[in-house]
Amino acid sequence: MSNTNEFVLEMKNINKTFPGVKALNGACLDLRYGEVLALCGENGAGKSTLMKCLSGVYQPDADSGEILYQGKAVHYNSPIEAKKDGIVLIFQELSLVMDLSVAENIYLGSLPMKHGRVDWKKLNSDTQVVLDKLGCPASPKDTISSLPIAQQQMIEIARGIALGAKVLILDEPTSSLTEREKNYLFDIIRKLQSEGVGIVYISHKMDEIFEISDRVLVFRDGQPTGKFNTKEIVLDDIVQAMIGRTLDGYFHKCQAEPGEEVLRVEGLSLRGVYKDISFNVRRREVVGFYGLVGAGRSEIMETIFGVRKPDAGTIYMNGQKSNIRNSVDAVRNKIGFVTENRKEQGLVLDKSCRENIALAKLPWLQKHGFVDEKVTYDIYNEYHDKMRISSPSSEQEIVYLSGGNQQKVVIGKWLTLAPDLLILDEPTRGIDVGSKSEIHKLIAELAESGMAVIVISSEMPEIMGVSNRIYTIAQGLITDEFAGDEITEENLIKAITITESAKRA
Amino acid sequence: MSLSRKERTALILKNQAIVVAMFAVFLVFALLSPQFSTRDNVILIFRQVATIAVMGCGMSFVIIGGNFDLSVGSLLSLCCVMCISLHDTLGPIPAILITVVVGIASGMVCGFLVGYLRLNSMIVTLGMMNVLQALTLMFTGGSSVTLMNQKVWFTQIGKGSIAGIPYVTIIMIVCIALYAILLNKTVFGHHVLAVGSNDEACRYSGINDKKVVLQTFVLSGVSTAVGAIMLCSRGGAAQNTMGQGYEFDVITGVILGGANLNGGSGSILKTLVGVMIIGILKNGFVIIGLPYYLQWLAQCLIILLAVWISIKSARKKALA
Repeated sequence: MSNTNEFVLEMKNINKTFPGVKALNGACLDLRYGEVLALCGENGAGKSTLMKCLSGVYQPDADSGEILYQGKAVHYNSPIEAKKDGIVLIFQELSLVMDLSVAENIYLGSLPMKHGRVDWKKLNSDTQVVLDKLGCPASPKDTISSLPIAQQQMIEIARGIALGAKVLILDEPTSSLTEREKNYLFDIIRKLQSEGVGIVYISHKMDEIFEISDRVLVFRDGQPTGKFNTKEIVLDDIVQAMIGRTLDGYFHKCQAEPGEEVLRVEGLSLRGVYKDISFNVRRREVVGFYGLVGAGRSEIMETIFGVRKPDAGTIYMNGQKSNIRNSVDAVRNKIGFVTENRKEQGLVLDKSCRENIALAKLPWLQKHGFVDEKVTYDIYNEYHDKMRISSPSSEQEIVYLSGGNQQKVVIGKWLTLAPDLLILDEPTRGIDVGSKSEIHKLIAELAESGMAVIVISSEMPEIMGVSNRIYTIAQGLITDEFAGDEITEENLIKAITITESAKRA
Repeated sequence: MSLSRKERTALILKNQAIVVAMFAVFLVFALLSPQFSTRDNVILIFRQVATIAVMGCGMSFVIIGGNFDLSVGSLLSLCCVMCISLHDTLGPIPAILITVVVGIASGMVCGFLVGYLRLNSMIVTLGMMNVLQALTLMFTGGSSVTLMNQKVWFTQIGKGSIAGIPYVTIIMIVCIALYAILLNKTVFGHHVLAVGSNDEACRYSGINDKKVVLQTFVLSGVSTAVGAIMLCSRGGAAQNTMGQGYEFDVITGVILGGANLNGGSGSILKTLVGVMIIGILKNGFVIIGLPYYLQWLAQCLIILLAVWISIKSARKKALA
């Protein structure tokens, strides 16, 4: 591009105060045409707030500096205004209308009209042009809900493209994507980049930042604390700028000798979901399940936890044939399950930290038929200190905590029951680097203290970092098992992709 | 964060707004009519609200658990006619027991359909409302029922009082105390509050959310049966349409009491305050001589106002 060195966007000295919190304090950002700028920082560092100030979701404080877009000072009152101007913000949660078609979603609010009616022909052909540009395989007439999440995200991006976006902001775009879908997204980002679109990429995932970005801007406490050219730095530079300290050893692995078998699964099958699943987990052992999203990993765990019923197979808990019919039985059998969807399945969002952490243990906190509230405070205090949960008080509603602290509460909820088996499904999804490393360390410590731990993850470094043994899953089948030195990136990738191609053949 | 005295007063006022509103409504009627604030009339108001208040306790559990029970009005009719007609055939104690069993059974049916089969509670209880109405008509054949002897002790439940306090008021207070303890102090109560907020998270936390929902409907059924016994004993008679419109009074009371329409929070004591407002309005409109249909209008405006305020504060919270 001829104007690569010109700034498409400059934000100068932006302040934003919420009641009691200074979320942004002199934040600056500049973005060139055709550049990918990665925005890093722990949760609450101000990344999203800054982007919301840009796109009109929030109004910056009056004493803020200016925002220059294509050289002109701008001020938006709503994201719709910003979008019309070509600044498109794509959140983690997609804002598509699930029951409408791809075309309708892309042109929602600006459908082409003819004689007072929607011009379907033009709509669909226009849409096809945009989809082709992105290389998206979806058809304009497909219903959004019928598409995989990765493609839904494409549609969200396509919507921005159709509006002629000059600045595209992606907030944690890969949190629900598989490795392959991620690569697909990156191809699109590069394509847009070559067309001169400036891209702000917000992510916690360091490998992605190094792969895709040209420059990195790091935030801490509402201020920029580091500005780098990606090529010139290493991971530690970013981490240091983010948290103001270096993390010693990114991963922690359980070092203990595994003990007796806690869980044994034989020939577990559920039609159309998974087939002939057999594995075991021992005390003092972290067993990883690696596979693509949708491979059946979560469903297997839900079956063990009693939320789903299998068609065939047997589950043994501590050597006994388990007759777990629902989650109540699972809890009695000392199984804990940290689910993948923290907000939907893990937490009661409008209740306090204390109530959430004591939720599973309530039946054991009775005194003469009444809940002993005092003990719930003790439990909160115990885990608050032990897990370093950062919350202003025990009565703080959990919805206001950061992802990392929410996750600590969910894990704490299970630890109160001292389970024999703890299942963690994507335990660090959408969590900042600091908490992530704490949770990894905790997983190792729990296993070392005698627990049997299962970890499901789509993140290769994570699964390799925490697991003593790994089962690979593809299309509802366990394809291989690795331990010790066999755990290599190459082996894992082969094991989850080989069956796929073999199946297709 | 420590609050200044002014902020704290504002907070208390905000949290107790409904109590303030109750006294305000009372004051308005007291100024409009000298008869309104007499001792006899105040006791009458308490007598009148007893049934709605007890039903409101059960309804609070259903609403806090994230559902609605529209069938309580029809159930009230059925329980009333059954209790009165069985009183003379089987005797007072069996009549009371059978009435309670009918309430439990109705609640179990709704609770099973909503909790275990996951059907929408509005539709289920709307259907149940008609079923119960049909059962009432089948039972009575369309005519009203009256006790042969109006002097039996059974009628004293509704009519009698001790030291000036009506028995029904005592029953109401006992029920409210029991339900408040059940909601706030027991595992079941905590589970209702949690299931109402997020049933899925509860299911994944080892709580039998289906059973919890069923139990809330059973509580609503039992409360309605108790309410029916108090109501029919007062007049010593019952007829098919006796409970008509009660579901609206009861739900209005609970909503005024600040129970979250989507479940997850609410208070039994506040429900009582909400119900009292309804009772004061009903009584006050009659005393100052306004036609009864204006009271419906007023009640409708009040519930819309209450819902609007609760949604507004929820939105404010969502933005914070």
